[in-house]
Amino acid sequence: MTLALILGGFALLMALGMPIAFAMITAGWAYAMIEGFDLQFLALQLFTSLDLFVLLAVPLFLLTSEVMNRSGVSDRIFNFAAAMVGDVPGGLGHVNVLTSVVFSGMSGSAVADVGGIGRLSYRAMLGQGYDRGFSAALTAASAVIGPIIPPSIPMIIFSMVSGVSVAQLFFAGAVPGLLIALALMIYVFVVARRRGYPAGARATLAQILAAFMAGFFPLLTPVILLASIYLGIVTITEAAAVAVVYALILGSFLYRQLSWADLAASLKGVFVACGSILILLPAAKLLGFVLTAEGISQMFASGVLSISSNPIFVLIAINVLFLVLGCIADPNVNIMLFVPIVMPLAAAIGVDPVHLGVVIVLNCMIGLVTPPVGGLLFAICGMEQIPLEEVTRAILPFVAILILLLLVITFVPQISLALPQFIYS
Amino acid sequence: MIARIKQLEMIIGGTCLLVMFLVICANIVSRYVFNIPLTWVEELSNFLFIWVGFLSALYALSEGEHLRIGVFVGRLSPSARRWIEVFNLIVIILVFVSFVRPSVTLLGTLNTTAAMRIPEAIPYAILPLFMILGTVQVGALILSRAMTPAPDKAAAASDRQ
Repeated sequence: MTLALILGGFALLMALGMPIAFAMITAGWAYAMIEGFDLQFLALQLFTSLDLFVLLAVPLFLLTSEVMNRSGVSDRIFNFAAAMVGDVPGGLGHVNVLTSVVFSGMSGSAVADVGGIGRLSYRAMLGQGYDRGFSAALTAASAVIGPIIPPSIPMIIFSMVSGVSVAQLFFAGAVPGLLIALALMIYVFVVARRRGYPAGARATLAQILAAFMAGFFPLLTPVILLASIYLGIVTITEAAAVAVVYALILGSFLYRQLSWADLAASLKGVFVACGSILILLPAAKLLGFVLTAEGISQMFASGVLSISSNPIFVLIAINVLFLVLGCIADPNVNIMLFVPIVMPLAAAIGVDPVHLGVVIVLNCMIGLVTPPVGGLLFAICGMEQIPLEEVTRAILPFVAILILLLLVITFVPQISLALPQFIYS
Repeated sequence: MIARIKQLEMIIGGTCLLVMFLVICANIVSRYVFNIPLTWVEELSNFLFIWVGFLSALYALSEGEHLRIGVFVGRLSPSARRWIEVFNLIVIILVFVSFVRPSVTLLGTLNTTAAMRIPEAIPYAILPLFMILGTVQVGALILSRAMTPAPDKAAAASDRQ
């Protein structure tokens, strides 16, 4: 009874447009009031939920992409990608996808991808006469790759709530991320052929070499990051700090584009971005406390298993749940709140938690590009003043492709698990 | 006044972020160059991070930057939306206010930290600070929403100009 009241009230507050974090805090607060828990205990929970060293990687990865964005690194990556794949039919479309892949190796957030390098590709596509809706849809869809390929903020959050190793999750995302990039490029190729989108001039060997040299050091970022994590030289958080140092060295000494003012502006940008992300963790902890106290995850697990204990059914149920949730709320919120609920269920049917992490993060990311409420669609439409309807129509084939890939990745665990198993065996 | 509070939050939070980054780097250097791991770094950087988390949340509160679901209220009239927002803010301020005392009394129950051996009450002081500043900032938001003329009328007025 209490539980229904709390969850109903929570849903109502969310529908009324209360900030999600505060709706969660209010729900936890109301439960404590009704059940007579001490608020002092809840206050303690708010603090300890952030007292976790791996979480420090979140602002540090954000700082890396802020510094990179301000150091003209985006242009270098764009030129590199243009030299590599610009001459294929639909050239700039492929460039858009490839830049997202490269940039995702130094950024953990999809919105940072759209706002930085995504806009660059989008504008270049418009300049060459690509359809506006298609260009914007492709920019949003390719940004999905960002948190699948390491580093990844949603995966850090997943690791926090599930206890799975971040390093394993990071490596597990690499192959699925590349697979998505490949699928998007095939689709771009088909569309370009049909609509006669232009191919750029073939770059000469000298040009490719020059673009590669110009982009070489930024391209090295993910390599440095993953190598130092893999070799165990540093923790994930320290690796994120190393990435910041590397970005600062590139920006200030090598390219000489970064001033003190840029550094201050980057810190400010990260601070603002943290505002809406970090408070979700303590907030979800309070709501999670209610869900745990009321035994929701056991109820959920036994409820689903009583319908069927067929792993295929259960996996599809988890996918549908997170796709729907992904359309409504932010990936980090969904992971914080619902991963603890589905973990016992997944364990009951023997799903590898690392594999589950990749599947759930991908689900949440697809939600971000699914109309009518996908956050990435709003981001690109807002930044470039495009009517939402135009992108809504153009994004549908991309969503279909992503869901198809989601199913493949769900039912072929080896796509995710082969690399971490190879590395850590 | 609110602008001043927000500015302070940004400056303190940004500084915490910078110091957090610097001590993490210092630890890597100290460990590999001088073979001396700095045991206090993890604790200090965690505390700085927690301060960043709460201060940035306060900042985002006044900026209206927090994630919310806008599809349902987006269909309502501007004045209905305004009253719903005031209602939300009143709920939030109630929660903030009721947390002020418990978060202050919590400070009295704490020990010293494991690595730095400072009173735990110092890092935990962010909790009462969060509750008090939250109360002030949300209070200011309520006043500004309730005082300004209804947005639909304001919009109509600006259309006429």
